[in-house]
Amino acid sequence: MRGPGLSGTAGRRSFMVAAIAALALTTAGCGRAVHTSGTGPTSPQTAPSAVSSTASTVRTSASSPSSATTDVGMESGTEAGTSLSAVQADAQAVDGATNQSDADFDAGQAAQAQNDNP
Amino acid sequence: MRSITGKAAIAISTCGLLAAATAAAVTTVAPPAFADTASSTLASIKAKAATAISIRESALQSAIPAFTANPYVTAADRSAILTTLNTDASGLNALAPVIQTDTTAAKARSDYQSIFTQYRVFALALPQSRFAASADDLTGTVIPRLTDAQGRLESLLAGPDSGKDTSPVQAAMSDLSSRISGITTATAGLATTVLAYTPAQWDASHTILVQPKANLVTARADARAAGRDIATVIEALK
Repeated sequence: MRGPGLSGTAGRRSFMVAAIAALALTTAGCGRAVHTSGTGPTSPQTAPSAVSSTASTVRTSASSPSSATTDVGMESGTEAGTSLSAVQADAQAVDGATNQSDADFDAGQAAQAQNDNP
Repeated sequence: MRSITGKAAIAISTCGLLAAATAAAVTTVAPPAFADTASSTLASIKAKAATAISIRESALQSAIPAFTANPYVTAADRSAILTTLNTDASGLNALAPVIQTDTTAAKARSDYQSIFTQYRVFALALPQSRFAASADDLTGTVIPRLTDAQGRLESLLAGPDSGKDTSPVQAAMSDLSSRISGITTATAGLATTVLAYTPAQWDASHTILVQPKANLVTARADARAAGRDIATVIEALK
């Protein structure tokens, strides 16, 4: 004769308890992985426009520097790469504006070199 | 043969003298470019005035679109620059017919002088406009973008790229900081200062643009050096 196990109401209750316990263990493992996903990436798109050369965009681009996240979670590599791309965009903008500054300065000097006396 | 006497003799003598004088003039004295008369001097002044105004009008009309198109110049400075240049262009355009209708050399000479003393297109108007734009290029874009890059790099070096914060990287970041400060100091108020100069001030002192120019030389060199610093750090973080 079989004793209390997997038969009858007691058996079904035991099975349910075991199933729930197994499910809880599995969920906990997944939860740890999920919880380390970190915060969203810093949005470099909110930084000064990288390639726009319009007057309004450039003259209003004097925003405070945004900081890349220091989170070391799953997205840190992507965030760092995005931030480095933003730095490269900054460098390009600096180069363009400096070139314009050079051109303006040279044009000013060229004007001064012309005789402005009777 | 009848001898030549009386009026005929005088006439022949005179013709001979004139011939001799003419020959002497042709062979020994170069004719002046303009006859030394009041009307010729007036004509030469008018001609020089027309040329001087034309040259300046061309320079102004060539520069005006450049300032309109420059995306880095502030709205206020662009307005001041275009006001100066357009006012000079209009003034010279109005002065041209005045000189051409002057009836005395003295009046024409006075009006001719004003082409230079009243406008100073080459000595002041164009240079001050260009130097102000050169400063705006740096203050409006270079400084904020360098500052943004600096902040991002500092965050990276303090975080995910802390292992790459080597001595050369630190040196580049330190120099970057110095360069940003240098550009900021050199260009502070520069555009406003140069745009405020007047022809009268330039006439009183021809050195008013010397220091602003020197500051721009320094600031532009700092901007280039800062760009190299950023490139150095970017390379290290790749």
